[in-house]
Amino acid sequence: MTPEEKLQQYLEDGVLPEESEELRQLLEDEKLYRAYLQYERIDAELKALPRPKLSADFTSRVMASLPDQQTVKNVEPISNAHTRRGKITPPRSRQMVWLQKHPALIAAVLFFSLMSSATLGLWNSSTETMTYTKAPGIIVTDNEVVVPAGVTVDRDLTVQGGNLRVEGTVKGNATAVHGRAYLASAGEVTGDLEQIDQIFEWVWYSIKQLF
Amino acid sequence: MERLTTRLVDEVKTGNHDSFAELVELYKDGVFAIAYKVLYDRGEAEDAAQEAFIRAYTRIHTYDSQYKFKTWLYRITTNVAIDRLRKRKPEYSMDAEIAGTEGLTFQDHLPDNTPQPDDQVVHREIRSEMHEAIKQLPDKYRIPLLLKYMDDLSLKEISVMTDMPVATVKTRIFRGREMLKTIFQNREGFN
Repeated sequence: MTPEEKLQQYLEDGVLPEESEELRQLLEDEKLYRAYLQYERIDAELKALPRPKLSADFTSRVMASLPDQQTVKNVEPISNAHTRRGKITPPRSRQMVWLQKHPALIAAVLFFSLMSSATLGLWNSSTETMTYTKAPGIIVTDNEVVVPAGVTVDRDLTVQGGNLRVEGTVKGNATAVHGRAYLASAGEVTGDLEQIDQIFEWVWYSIKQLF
Repeated sequence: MERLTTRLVDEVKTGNHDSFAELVELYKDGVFAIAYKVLYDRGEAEDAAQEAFIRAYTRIHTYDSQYKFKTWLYRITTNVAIDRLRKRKPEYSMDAEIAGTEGLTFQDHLPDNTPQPDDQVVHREIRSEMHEAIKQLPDKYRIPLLLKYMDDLSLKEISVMTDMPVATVKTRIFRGREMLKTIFQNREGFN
């Protein structure tokens, strides 16, 4: 602290008895003594600063310059953040706020819409050409896959866009999509024999395939 | 006072124009005092106070009654006053330092036409000189100094209001007084 700052400090806080000797020594310096007097005077002047008063008609002038009620009602509510440091952030719409509050729901909706569009796409394409699980010994015609008598298919067999006729043995599930599944009296399917020609069945089937 | 304020604010929110006049009556002196400390000019402070009330009125729906209305209103006032202070800056070129000189401003080149002191008028003269001198202080020294002397606030309270550490507030008040002394030393009639 410079000697001048010390003088200000004494003026601010007053002088303790043990400091009076130090102050006396400082004030022996002619320049510091003058400074002390000046600070004393400045302090007194500052304390005596006039407190200005508002004009008497202030309130009525404020009321006269308010925007009319109609305008005010149209003003969008703005968050308190606006008044802070003059920074302006546009208010979030109610929809945005709702979306931000429910992320899990948004994820679920997205998942189902993408899944169902993919699934439905496959459903529609499956009506055009016949596709089937390749297995040794099966006979394929235009719109029919036949597992002849005496032939054993060691896996699941699926036919899309055609009929499936089982005369031999399928060791697994036999499924016909967009077609009919026939089981001959001598034929055997160890799993399920299924015929899918409804879109809901197709969706359910697609989901089962996932797991 | 708190409950009266809450009731008035609710009434203004439902469109009661007259309740706002009551709010202005309650808070105008505080709002004006804050604007005055920042702008240090009666007329400008009054304009700023008016603008602050208009802003509060148009944004009354954003006021959250969880907080004190006074705090919300005073913050608006500070923002309005500081905006005005920034806008007027260029007009103060008279106080700008002349390039290549140290601490010499255009103000120093004006003829000193203050009347020669005659003991009777000295006191009043110096008081208005004090006003002129305070105007010349940079904002960062003037505002803490005025808060201290006009509101009798403690260093701690000023520190909270201005968001500065107590030590900084103290340094600025000391530095402000020192600058005032320098300004007066260059004038006749101040010993």
